[in-house]
Formats: sequence, structure tokens, C-alpha cells
Amino acid sequence: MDTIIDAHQVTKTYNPKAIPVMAVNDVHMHIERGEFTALVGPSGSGKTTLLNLIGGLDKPDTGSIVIHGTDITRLSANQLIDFRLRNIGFVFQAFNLIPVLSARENVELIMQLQRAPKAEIRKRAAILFDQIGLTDKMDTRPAQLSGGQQQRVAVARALASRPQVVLADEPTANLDSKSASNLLDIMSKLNREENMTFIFSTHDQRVIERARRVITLVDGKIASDTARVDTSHRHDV
Amino acid sequence: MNMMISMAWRNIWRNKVRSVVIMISIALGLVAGLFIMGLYEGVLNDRLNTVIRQEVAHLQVHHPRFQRDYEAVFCLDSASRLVERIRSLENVQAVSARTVAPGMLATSTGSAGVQILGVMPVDEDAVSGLKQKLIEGEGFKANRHNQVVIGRKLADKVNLRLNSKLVLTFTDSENNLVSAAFRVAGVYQSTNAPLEERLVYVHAADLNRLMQMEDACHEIAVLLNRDEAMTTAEQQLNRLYPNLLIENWQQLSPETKLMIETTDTYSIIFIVIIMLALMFGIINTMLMAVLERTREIGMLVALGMNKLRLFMLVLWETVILTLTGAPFGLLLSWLLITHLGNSGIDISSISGAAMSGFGFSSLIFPRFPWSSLPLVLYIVCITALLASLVPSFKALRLIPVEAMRQ
Amino acid sequence: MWLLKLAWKNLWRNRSRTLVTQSAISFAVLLSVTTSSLQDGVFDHFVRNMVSYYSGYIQVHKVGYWEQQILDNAAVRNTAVESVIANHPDVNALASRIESYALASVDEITKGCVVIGVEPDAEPQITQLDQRVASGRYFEHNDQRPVALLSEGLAKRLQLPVGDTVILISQGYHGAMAAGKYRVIGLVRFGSPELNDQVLYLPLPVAQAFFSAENLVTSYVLSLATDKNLERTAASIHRSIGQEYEVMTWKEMMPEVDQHIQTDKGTMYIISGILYLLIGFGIFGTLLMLMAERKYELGMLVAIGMKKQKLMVVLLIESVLNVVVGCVAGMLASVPVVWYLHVHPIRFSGELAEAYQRFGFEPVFPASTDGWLFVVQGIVVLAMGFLLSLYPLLKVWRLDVVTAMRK
Repeated sequence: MDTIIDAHQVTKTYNPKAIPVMAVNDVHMHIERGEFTALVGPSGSGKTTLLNLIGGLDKPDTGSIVIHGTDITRLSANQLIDFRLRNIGFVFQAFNLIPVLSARENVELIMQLQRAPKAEIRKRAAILFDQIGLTDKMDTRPAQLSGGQQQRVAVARALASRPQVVLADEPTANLDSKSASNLLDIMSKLNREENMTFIFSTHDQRVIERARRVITLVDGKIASDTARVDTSHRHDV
Repeated sequence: MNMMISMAWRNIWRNKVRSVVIMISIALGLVAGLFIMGLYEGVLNDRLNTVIRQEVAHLQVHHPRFQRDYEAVFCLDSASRLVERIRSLENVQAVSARTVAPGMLATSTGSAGVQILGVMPVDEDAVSGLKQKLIEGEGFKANRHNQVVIGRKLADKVNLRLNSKLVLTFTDSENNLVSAAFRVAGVYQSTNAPLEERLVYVHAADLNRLMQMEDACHEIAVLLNRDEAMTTAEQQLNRLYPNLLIENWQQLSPETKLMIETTDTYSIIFIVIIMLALMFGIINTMLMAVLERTREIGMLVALGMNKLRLFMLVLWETVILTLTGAPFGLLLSWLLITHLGNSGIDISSISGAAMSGFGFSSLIFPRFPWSSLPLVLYIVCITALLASLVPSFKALRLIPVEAMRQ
Repeated sequence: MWLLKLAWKNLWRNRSRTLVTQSAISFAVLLSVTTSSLQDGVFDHFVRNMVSYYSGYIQVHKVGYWEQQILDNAAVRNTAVESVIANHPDVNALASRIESYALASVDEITKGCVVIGVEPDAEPQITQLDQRVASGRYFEHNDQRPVALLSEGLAKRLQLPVGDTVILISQGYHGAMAAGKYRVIGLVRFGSPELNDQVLYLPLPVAQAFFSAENLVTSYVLSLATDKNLERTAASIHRSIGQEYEVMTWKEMMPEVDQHIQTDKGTMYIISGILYLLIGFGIFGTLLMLMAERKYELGMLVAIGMKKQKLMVVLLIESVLNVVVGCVAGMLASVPVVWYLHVHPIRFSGELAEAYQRFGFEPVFPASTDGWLFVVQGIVVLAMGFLLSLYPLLKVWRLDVVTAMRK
């Protein structure tokens, strides 16, 4: 198997003035290509911090995070930006899209930043919109899309750059259950069809049930790490 | 690149009022710069016209030693032929030959030092508008001897009225003291008080006879039909008469030149201050725009937009705002200056001073400063770009994780 | 009270926003103070130069002299009047002159000239005459010798070097014949050709003797500390010395100079107006963005039950604090700037500077340090700030909670 993420002894302390808070405490994590992993735990357990660290948005105090062979803790700020552009796809909790760009432009922006050829950008955008089922909304501005549609576009954008891993921080937090389930369907479909690695944080029980691996964080430490059987789409890899 | 420009363009329309405020600021900055330039150009043009058309004319021809010594012997011989030759030159509108004698004016009650100018009335009217300056009397009449036209200030000072008699004393070409009685045929008023007090005009025939000069004069004033032709005409005269002293108004009236240069310099200082005001408006408004978009910028960085691109994004936005604001400002300045250039600005109503009574006009007619247009455009554009650097750098300094937490 | 507290907390909560707003206002004050201080300084400097040339700020003559400048209108020196003038609090210096025309001759050459009898000690305090000496020496203390200072141009015209003798002929007091021989001890240089070509200075008692006008003066020339109280000083002097004298300001004596200054001041007012307009737009733009940014927060406050009126009061307090702090900071910040420009005035160079020096002017644009400037400009921007603060209030008044909270 192909190792995508290898995190060792990762610790991150936030120190707001007096009382230091260990947001992530000595975490070890190993993720293979094509995994569909949920990061769960109560509020303040360190889910977002861990995702930020893996995504290279933040730097750990100690430990190393190797993503597809690169130790991102050793990269400079500029190298990190470029690394994120090529290797990480992000889906944020809310207000994900650039409001002045249409849905299609939001997706194409990432590829443009990667300086992909124009024809390829068009082609890939068309495929992605087909996959998320929003081909008819391609030229709509985010404000005219529903919350669920916006998150689907955000997923398409995260995949546009063909990253090593897609990190989604509470992607369903602002969605109704139907939209949430729809988003999960799309994510899991893309996970299978493109063999894309997904890590998403959540505390939504319905979402947890869809994950094939569940890592539980409590007070910044990994409390449990269990592989689950996907009940809805049972088939062996 | 295209995407960046289109993003910048759409960012502009996110908050229309803000963009309109910046565009208007840029337009106003341009209007301000051009208007100040135009205002001063109008003021200077007015004063220049006065100096050239009422006082010194464009060029003057003298014997090289005359102005230093004011000796009657340093005269220009064969004056009438010289005048005719100069009159026939290109761009020459009018020529006046003057016989000049420094002397003293005496009446029964007082005396004053004066400069006596012997002129051909028709020529002098054409060059310095002597006739238009008369406020009393009708000036020189044909077939009358020993008439004199004096300034109002001098008339008040030595208590002279129209038709009063006075005695002029001066030295002739052989350095003998000559005195002769004259009668006041006119009183003139000009905008230049010291000259009004000193210059008295008599007929050239009278003065030349008294000074025992034949066909000669001391000074030839040349008025051209265009200001721009001066350098050429000056060179031409220098070529034709290498032994004579040819001077232009800048040399003849150094104080006017001084004033023009001073005005030029301080109009630049005030333009710089106005541009600082413009800059601070743009900086603040764009800075607020960046602060408002903190989260979004954080997200762009998280997605992998590098610093150069982010910087360019904010810069492009300002460039587009400048490019839209500038033509608008140009049009507005042109309309404003052209309109005020026709109707004039009444300075007295602004500064609250009464200006009438000295032959002065309190109206300023601004002129569109075509010559300084590139400079002003350049200054405004540079200002706008410099101003956009601050918010651009501010955007760079945002830390994605913190920006997104907001 | 809790409203005040809330406003205070709001200001502190978003420090960078508060800082941007306040700096917008203080920069506005700084710019307008600098501008008006430069404008005032330029005119002050110009007037000082003009009057130190010859006229002084104020002249006192016997009634009728200005209209008819002849010796017969000269005044008898009066020490009582002189001390009244000299003791006036605004008067810096006082000098007496006697002035008339004469013919100056050397050998075969005769020229008309203006003879000015000056007090050798008092005159330099008004016109810096001693510093204008280009060659030779200035008069001695209490000089009574028959010596003369010639303007350079006149000396050239007479072909007269320092050390030679000039003969003056004129009409003295009441038509008396005036003639005298004077040794030239120095040449003085003026930038203006009018003065440079025709002025001749004698010590006052020598000139009085020449014109047979013992104890007579044609004018008292006054120098003031500042041009600001010109008219008031002239009027108060006139009141205290009586109706037999005329008291004239330089504006009355040189109306054409005043005219030019008035024209220039008019253009300066226009420039200030443009500046205020731009400053206003700058502040408005800042407030505009501020409100756009705070829309959600304000919508939330209304949603949780805060009355709009209360919210407006909070915003008003914030604005007042911002504007006042900004204005005070701006006034404080402009003190060193103006002081610097006063001590190290903007100097110009090149041809223009040379021209200025030829005229005996210092080639600088000094800044005025008049304290009122700071206050007046501070108040102007303060008023502008308050006026523009109405915008946020209006915005709150028209706030719609639902749209405001939709991000």
C-alpha cells in the first residue's frame, strides 16, 4: 500500500497569555492512499488543529508530519503554500467559496494557480461538476447556491488539483440531514472512483457511520482508532 | 493572470459605494491637480499679458550701453529705417521707437524724478495700449507742441491736473541741461504703481528736437502676435543686429519671471500635499477592504495562492480603480476648467477683499494646463499605486489559520 | 454608562480597525495644519520681505504727505509722538526719514535721484540697510559727516567709485535752494531695478541740513512683530497721536502688492477647499468600510434585543471618541512637522533661488507656527468628522436585521 500521511509525536500548544492549552498532544497517525477516515471527538478535542497541522496551515511544536514522502514541518512558509496547492484539497466548515467567482471559476481557480493548460482545466471542471451533479449550476455565483450545493462545489474544488489528500473540517456542520447525506454520498463516490484519500472531522453520528475508519480524539490525544465496515457499499478492496 | 484581473474587477463591484468613493477620490485628486495648475496658469497668463502688453512688450532693442548709463548719446541711429525693418519681420505685431530721458519734473509746488519717454503716439498705443490706459484727457493731439501724458499717481503726488503746466529738466545728447515747459494732455492709469509714478510720455518729435537728436531713438519695443514666437524673433534680431542689445521680457522684468517661477514651485508643493490626502484616502479605504475580506484572503492562502499573486490581486484592484477614476477626473477637470475659464472665478468673493479701483481685475480665468497634464497624470497614478502597496502588504501579513478563525 | 462602556470595549476589541479610523482623522488634521501653516508662512515671509525693502509695515506722515509727497508737507519731529509710537506693544522698531528728489552730478554727468535721509542706527532694524552694503562701509553710529551711500545702479550711471564725491542739487524746504557735496562711503544693492537705479542715502541730520529742513521728517517708518494685527495697530496708533498725522499700512501704500496677495490667497482658499473635499472622502471611505464590516455584529445586537436608538448612541460615542482622539493626535503630530518646516523651511534651488537672492529674499517657503492654525484646522476636521459620523447612524437606522445577519 501507498502511505499518504505519516504523523509522528505531533504536539501543538496554544498559549493564550497564561494557561497553555495542549490542542494536540503526542499524536501518531498513519494513513494509506484511498482511506476514508473520520476524525471525531467533542468540541475542543483538537480535530481542527490536527487537520490544520496535516494541511500545513499551522506548524506543530514538535514531531514530524510526512505527506507522501515530504516532511512538511521542514518547509518554509512559501514552500508550504506551493505544497498545499499541489498536494492538499481543503473543504471548510462554511463560507467556502470565493463569492465573486462563479462555481466553475471557483473550481478552475485552483487549476489556474497550478498553471494547468486551459483545455485541461475545462475538461476537468466539466468532469467534476458532472460528478457532483451540478453541471447546470456551473455558472452560478455561490450566493445563489444552497448550502449543500456550495459544499459540493467546495469538494469539487478540493479535488480539482488532484491532491494527495482532501481534508474536510466539519463539512456538514451547516447542512440539513438530506444535504449532508448527499454530500457524503458524493465524497464516498469520489473516494472510490478516483481512489482519493479523505479525512474529515465531524461529530455528526450519521456521518461517522459512513466512515471506514474512525479516529477518536479526546483532549488532543488519540483515544481510539477503529476500522469499520462500510455498510451501505459493502465490497472488498 | 486573466482570472486575477477578473477577480480584482469583481471585487471592485462587491461594495459599489466603496469603489465609487475611491474612484471619485482619484478623479478628485486629478481634478485638484489639474485645477491648481489651471488656476495658476490663468493667473500667470493674466499677469504675463499685463507685463507684455502694457509694460515691456516681448522684446526691446537698445544700444548695448544705454540701460547702464542712460546717456543720451547711446542711441540707435537711423531709427525710422530700423523700425521699418523690424516691423517687416515675421510675427511682429507692432513696434514702438522711444527716446528715453531720465529727468526731473517740476511744478510750482513740488518736483519728482521721472523717466521721460518720447514716443510716436500711434505706435505706442499699438505696443503698450497707452490710449486705453488714459483716464483723463484725450492724449496727444496733432499739431500741438509740448504735450505730456502722466500717470495718475504722479499727478496726485505733485498735484497736477489736466492742462496744468509743468517743467521737464533733462540732459541733451551733448550733456547740456535742458528745461522745457509742457502741458498735461492726459492722465493714465496702469496696474503697475511704481511705473505709473515714474513714466511720463511726450511726443518723440518734441523730445528729439529738445535733445538735439535727429532720426534716432534709445529703445525699440517689439510686440509679437504670439508669445511662442519670441525665441525665434529674438534669434532673428540678434542675427540681424549683432551690435545691438536685444532683450526679452524675462530679462527686462525679472520680478515677473521670479513671480512665475515662485508660483510654479509652490503649486507643486500644494499638489504634493493634495496627493498625500488622496493617498491616505485610498490607503484607508483599501485597508478596510482587506480587513473586511480577512477570512476570504485566509482561505485563498490556504488553498495555495502564493504571496505574489495575492499582492497582485490587491494591486490590480487599485490599478483598475485608478484607470476608471482617471478618465472621469480628466473629463471633469476639462469641463470645470473650460467652464470657469469662460466665466472666470471672482477671487474677491472668495478672499473677501474689495479689489476694484486699481485697474485690477478680480476675475481669474483658469486655463486647461495641457502642458502639465502628463505630469499631473503621472503624479496621480504613482500616488494611487503607492497607496495600494500598504493594503497589499497588509494582505500578505495575514496568517491563514488566524484569518479563517474569524 | 453601560453604553459608554460598550462603546469603549468595541473600540478596543478591534484595535486595527480603530487605529485605521483614528489615523485617517489625525492624518487629515496633519495635512490641513501643514497646508495652512505653509500658506500662512509663505505670505508672512513675502510681506516681511516686501516691507523690509523700503516701506516698513506702517508709516506715519503729516496729513496730506502721501497724496503730495513734497518737502513742504514734512512733519516737525516730535519726541512725544515718537515715544508713543515706539512704546506701542506691537511696534518692533521705529525710524525717521526725510525724502525728496535731487539731481546728482559728477563731472559732466547729471542724473535724477531719490535722496533719503535715514537714521543710521534705526534704519537697519527696519530695512537691513547695513546688510545691503555691497562695497565700502555703512554709516557710522550717529553719523553727522557729509557722506552718502549710493545704490549700485546709480553709482554705475554716474561712473562713481567709492571714495569719490557727488554733488547734489535740489529744491529744499519752502523752495530754498539746496546744494551740497558728499563723499561716497559705500554702495548698496537692491534686487529691484527701481530702487537700485535711483536711490541715494544720507544720514538724517545731513539730509535735513541739505534740504534746509532742520528737525523735519517726511515719514516715520515702523516695523511690527507680525502682520496679523496690522490694521488694529495702525488704528490704535492713529488714535493716540491725533488727527494731524496720517497712519498708513503697507497695504495702503502698496495696494498692488496687497492685490497680488489677495489674489493668491483666493487661490489658496480654493486649494484648501479641494483638500478638505479629498480628506472628507478619505474619512467617508473608511467609515463606509467600517460599517460594511460590522453589519453582522450590529444586526446581531439588534436581533438579541438592543434598541436601535441605543445602538446609535453607542456608535455615536464610538465616533466621538474616534474623532476626538484622532484630532488631538493629529494636532500633536503636526506640531513637530510644522516646527521642522519652520526651522528647516522648504528651500528651493537653482535659478529661482538665485533670483530670490538677487532680490535680497531668502529662497525659502517657511511654515507659520501660529498656534491658532492648529486649533482652527483641528476644529474644521473635527466638524467634518462629526458630520461624516452621521453616516454610521443613518446606516443603523436603516439596518434590516435579517439581511444584516445573512453573511
